[in-house]
Amino acid sequence: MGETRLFISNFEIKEGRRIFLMILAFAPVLLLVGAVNICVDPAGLYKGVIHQYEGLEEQNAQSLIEGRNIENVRIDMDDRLLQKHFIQKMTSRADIVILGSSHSMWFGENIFPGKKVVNNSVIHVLLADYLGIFNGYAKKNLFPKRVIILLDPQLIAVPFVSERWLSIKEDTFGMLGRLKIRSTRIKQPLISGAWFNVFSFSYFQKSIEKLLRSSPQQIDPDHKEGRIGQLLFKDGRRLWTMKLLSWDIEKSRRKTIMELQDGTFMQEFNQRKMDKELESILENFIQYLINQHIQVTLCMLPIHPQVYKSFIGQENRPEVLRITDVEHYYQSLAQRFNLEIFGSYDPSVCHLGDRDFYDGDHIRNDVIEKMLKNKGAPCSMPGI
Amino acid sequence: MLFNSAPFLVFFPVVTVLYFLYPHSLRWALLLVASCIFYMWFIPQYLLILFLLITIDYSMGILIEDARLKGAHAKKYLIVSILATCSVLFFFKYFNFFSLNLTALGDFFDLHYPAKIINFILPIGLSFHTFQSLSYVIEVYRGRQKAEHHFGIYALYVMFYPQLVAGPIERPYNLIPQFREKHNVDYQRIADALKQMAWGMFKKVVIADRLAVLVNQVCSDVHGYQGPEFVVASLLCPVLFYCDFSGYSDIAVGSAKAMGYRITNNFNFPFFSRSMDEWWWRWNITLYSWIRDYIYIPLCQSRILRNNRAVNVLIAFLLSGLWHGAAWTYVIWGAINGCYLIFSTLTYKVRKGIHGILGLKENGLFLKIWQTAATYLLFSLAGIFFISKSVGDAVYIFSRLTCGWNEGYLKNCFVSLGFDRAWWTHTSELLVVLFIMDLLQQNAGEKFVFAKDPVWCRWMYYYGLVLAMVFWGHYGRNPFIYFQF
Repeated sequence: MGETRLFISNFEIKEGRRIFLMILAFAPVLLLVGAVNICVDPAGLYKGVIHQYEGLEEQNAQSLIEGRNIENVRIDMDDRLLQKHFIQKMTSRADIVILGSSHSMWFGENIFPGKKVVNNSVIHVLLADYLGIFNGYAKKNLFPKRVIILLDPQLIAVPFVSERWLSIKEDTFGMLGRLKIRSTRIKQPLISGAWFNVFSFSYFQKSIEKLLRSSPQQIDPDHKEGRIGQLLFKDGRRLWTMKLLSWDIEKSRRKTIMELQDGTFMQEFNQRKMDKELESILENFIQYLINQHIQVTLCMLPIHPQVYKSFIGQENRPEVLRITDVEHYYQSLAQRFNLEIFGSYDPSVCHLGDRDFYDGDHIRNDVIEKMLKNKGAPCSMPGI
Repeated sequence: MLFNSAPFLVFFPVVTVLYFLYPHSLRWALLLVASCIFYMWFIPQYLLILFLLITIDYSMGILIEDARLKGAHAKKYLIVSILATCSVLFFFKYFNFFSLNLTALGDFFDLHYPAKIINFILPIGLSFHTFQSLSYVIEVYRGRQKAEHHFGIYALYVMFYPQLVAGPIERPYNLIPQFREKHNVDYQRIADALKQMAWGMFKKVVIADRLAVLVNQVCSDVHGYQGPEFVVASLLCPVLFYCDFSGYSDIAVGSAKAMGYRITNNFNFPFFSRSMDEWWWRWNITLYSWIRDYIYIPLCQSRILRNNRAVNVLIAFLLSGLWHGAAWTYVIWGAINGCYLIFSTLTYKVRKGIHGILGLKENGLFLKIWQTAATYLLFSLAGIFFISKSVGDAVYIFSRLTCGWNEGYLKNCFVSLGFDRAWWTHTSELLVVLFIMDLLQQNAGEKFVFAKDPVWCRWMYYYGLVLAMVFWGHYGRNPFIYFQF
């Protein structure tokens, strides 16, 4: 057996070929996973959900400006684009603007009666979204009197941007320019992150789940009776599906456990660390708001007790974002800038239990309203 | 890097292929670099701690051997090495525990000593590689292992990536010589390795991660549950630990085997043990053989405790409990297991007598089942301390074990845990599969369980395993439980 230049014999090359063929025999499984993921695509990673509905976001923004509530809004609408159009079409100054995520969708005129409130919350928010959305106000020089910023833990952990951010990309750069920051955290990947999910087994399981469960009317935006979409109020506040209105404790508990089981919550925290650059961008953004004479209020909303426990229990894992450190940082940030801050990630601080949540991630609307309006209570909204 | 993560799916084949492409003389360097990358995936800075330990024990190994050969006093170097290694372990793992307990003790005597707390994250797998390092210096001292003069090879002995973060804890005379052996590409060996890894992955992502939710759920909120949930959680926790840790060990052994390295199997079908004594020969084998060789036997040979087997067993198990974690729950867990073993030895003759009176044959099926079930049950009961967050929680669980066994509560309790009927059915099926596979594999011995079956039958098994992982695996990046130790 002659030695090759690669330090392995011809016999070994033959053996290697056999191993390669053996592994290749499992290629059909991977192909099946890839095909199902791309075809079913439960999160719309490959079909380009964004901009799928030509003009829908602009139409919705126009309706809001005209003071109309909108029923049955598609849940897969590009809500960043909606906010962009909403702000673009605004002609008068708002009293209060909410920058937040799905957790703060219920903040609105219901909490601040008599005030002009605009809720600019978007789902899966990252810091770049706040910058991009607020740049809309800056461009028009239509600064609100007060901004309430929801501080989700992932705001100060990379990534800075997500795939969803593309529709307000220019505005984010615009705001970074105003802040005189050149972020190294915006990297345009050569390959879209979605393509890394092609062979993802967990995405495959979601695809199968969707295949088994979905019926045509569940994704039909015109299906009025089911009210599967969202209710969008003229102040930008949103009410999630009717499914949430028919909430019950057991269902919620089961959903939370299942989501804890499949790691849904941990995905937000895994392999993420507090990032100094993002902290600095947030601080600069807050300073910018203060310089515009805007009253800034910071807010942290409690996490479901079981999920919170799970986060705390995993804090010794080096690859997990430590939620107590994040809260500590936000508290010190408020102190440094002398800002109002309310709430906590710890549900016990706000006296919330399992029953107060729709699922493992969202507080019930009635509870949130009561909590914020309850003057003098630990998590009440200042200045109501 | 976690074995059940996407980066490892790239890391493992790349390292294995490069290993065979590299000239034999440079393979150690490749493995060392790969192991550093593997470790640095967690907290890169902690590599320095590991290298500090390696440098100390490497130097001490050489000094011990030199002193032995010159007839000088080698013990002082051994003591320096043990103290240095243990102080790193103490600082990161036990300092806070010690400090808090000292404060509590001070408070008891009205002496107020403010607890000093250090906020360092425990380096991953610290207990494993410190034990592996200690085993090296002790063996060099005993003269059973030559001091390793090649720093790279010694570093690789401590850092070899398959067993770096959660064992198996290898002995130097088993692993070090293998780094000098030339390993060739061998289809059969690599195929066997991949099968073992796939089975380990199945146990981890399909079974362990599924059971973990239930056990964690109950343990994180003990006051919300009653006897039925506690019994189910404590009965499932040995299976959870087994699938998690043996799953890890299978992947570790398999990934080493693919490159030609033979690593000790850490588990030998513990659920078929008929006594607690046998259990500890089959469970976490490398840890308990370490404790036996370096703690228990030296205690038995010491002047003070020579004739005190029971005390020695208890000390060994208390230390094994403390090894698992700096908490009283682990210490008590160790103590209970030690007591089981002492009791089992003391009552051996009595139990034999009872079997004789009842006419039970030693190898009869009834006695086998009874002993196996009793052993499992005893381990599960002790496991309550292992899974509890505090001694108070464990005591609460024990006090509630008999509560809630009425129809009204039983009807809803398992549903209120959050799992529907389909979940329970599916979990039961998986446990049956695990039991059958372990039974078959135990009877098959070293050989692969389906080795003699036709090709289509074997491929059905392979495909079944892969599809089970695809459809039912949990990919939320749950770490292996033993990483925290």
